[in-house]
Amino acid sequence: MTVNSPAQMVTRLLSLTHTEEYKGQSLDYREFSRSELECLLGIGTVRHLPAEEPLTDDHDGSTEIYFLMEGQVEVLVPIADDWVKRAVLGPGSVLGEVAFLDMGSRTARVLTASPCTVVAITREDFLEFSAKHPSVAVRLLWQLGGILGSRLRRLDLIDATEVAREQELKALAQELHDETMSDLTALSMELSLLGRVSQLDEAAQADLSETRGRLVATNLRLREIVRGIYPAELVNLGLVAAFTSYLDNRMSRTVAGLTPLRIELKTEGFGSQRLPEVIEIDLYRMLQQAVTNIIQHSQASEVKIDLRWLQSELRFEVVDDGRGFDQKRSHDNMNRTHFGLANMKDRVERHQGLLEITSQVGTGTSLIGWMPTVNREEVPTDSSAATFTMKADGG
Amino acid sequence: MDTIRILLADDSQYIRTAYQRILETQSNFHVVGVASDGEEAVQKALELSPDVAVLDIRMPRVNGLEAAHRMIRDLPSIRIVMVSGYDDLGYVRELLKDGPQGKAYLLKTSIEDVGELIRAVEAVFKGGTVLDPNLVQKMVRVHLEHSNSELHQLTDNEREMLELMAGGYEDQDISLIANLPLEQVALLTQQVLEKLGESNAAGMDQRSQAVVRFINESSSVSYIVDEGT
Repeated sequence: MTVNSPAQMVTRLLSLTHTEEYKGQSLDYREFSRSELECLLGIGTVRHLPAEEPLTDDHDGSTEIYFLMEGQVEVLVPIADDWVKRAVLGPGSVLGEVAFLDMGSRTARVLTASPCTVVAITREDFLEFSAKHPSVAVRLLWQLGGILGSRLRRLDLIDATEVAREQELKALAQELHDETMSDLTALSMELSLLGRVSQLDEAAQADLSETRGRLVATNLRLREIVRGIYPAELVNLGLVAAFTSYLDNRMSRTVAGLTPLRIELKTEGFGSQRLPEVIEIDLYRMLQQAVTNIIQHSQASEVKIDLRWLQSELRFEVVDDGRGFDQKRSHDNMNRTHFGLANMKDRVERHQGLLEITSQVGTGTSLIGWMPTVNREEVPTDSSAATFTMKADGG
Repeated sequence: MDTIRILLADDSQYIRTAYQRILETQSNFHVVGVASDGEEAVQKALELSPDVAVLDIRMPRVNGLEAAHRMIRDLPSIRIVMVSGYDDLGYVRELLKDGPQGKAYLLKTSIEDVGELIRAVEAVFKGGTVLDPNLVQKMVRVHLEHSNSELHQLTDNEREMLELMAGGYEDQDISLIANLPLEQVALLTQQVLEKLGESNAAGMDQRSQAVVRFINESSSVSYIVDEGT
């Protein structure tokens, strides 16, 4: 049966059995009376779409909300520069509700998986409707709020999972450091000893020496890996020491084909106080990602990094004079994991902070961030400045 | 040559074996006991009264620093060689808290060169203070990044002297390492001590004090945390 009239549509909606998979993105239509639903759907436009047609797309600028009457759609979200299927939804589902509510850009791509019938309602029409039927409008908005609310709760859960994950990484790094690296050191010592005390001929001594060399190199490589997993300095000495150490280390390794790079790091207000561990690791990783981006993509020659811990907030900046990137291509680029930017934002927003990324092709990129912190009674007036230089690779 | 009685403590069996083999290459070193955690280390130290205890910082039950404190409490003349996988200045300060004489702080990466462990044991036995050279280099670098550090008043040669002194080397060794005549070394080290204001204490004490001073200076560096204070 093709649903065309509001009456037919309402019958369809009220006759749906809500299977679990559609529940999260559907309204409880039984909360409304028949006539209320008919009225609501009446202000909308019916659209019939063939399969594989986009209902909403990245930045299409539309702000309508859709009620799916017939057919199935696929919801795709951007993850790591790719569109990933997040859900398949069927009749009764509500689509496009986020942009409908906040007039922002579309957050997902919705493609029809089969021929579909939808009812599209614009914000303007809904506003008019709400004047005449305020109660229905309010109840509808409450339900939309409920859909978003459950998503938010899941997000909070994800944040907690992230924290747990960092704890696991920390434990892993410590174990590798304390046990494995220590044992490799012991083996290296034994080989060294073997070389000294045994009666080996020159050739054998050379072999032994070489083997030991490889063992030492392995241990050093493991040290680097462990540092990448979770730096010990972050645990023992805090953000500034760990980040300084990272820069020191990273900048001492030249990168082929790179122009000389100078990074200036200024910090203020850290003294001997420590930020909470969960903030330290997120900031550390964010700063690390920023520097990696600069080294790998920007071809910058000067970078200024500023970290300031004030009385009740943290301010940080990473500004480079590199080649920048095109922000206008799509505001959405910021939200994708383009250069890990989405991840960087996430690490800051997770702590109720903000990260603003501005870039201009040919001029450079700046990351400016802010994060609230617990009020400090005493704010150290110390400051530090250090410069790190990476020379161009001769080869 | 004095016999040096040594107690070893580390939770890794490989390390204990390696240390033992290395130390026993010296005819006057005698490993009298081996422990696998801090508590056992303290127990054995009280039982056996070793001259030198070689301890890993990270050990179960009681860590190396705590074990060292307890040993010193009951055996005030015991010497300590602390080995750590972490170049943490806080740990170093903690170790030297009870006085710098007869104490060494080595990094695990450095003792891959087996001579280092032997040298450290000998040096602390004589009452000296030894800081791992890599650690010292790091500290110097950190100091130099801060314009108001006292190290700026030292010349490059004097700074090199201080690094070697902090490494627990005596003048004769420094002379060999830096390839300078002994008299010049003696002069330089004296200059260093004077500049750091430590020329009043005598002999080994003087040098240990210079090392301590060196470390304490680093607490003025803004991002080096005072662990546990």
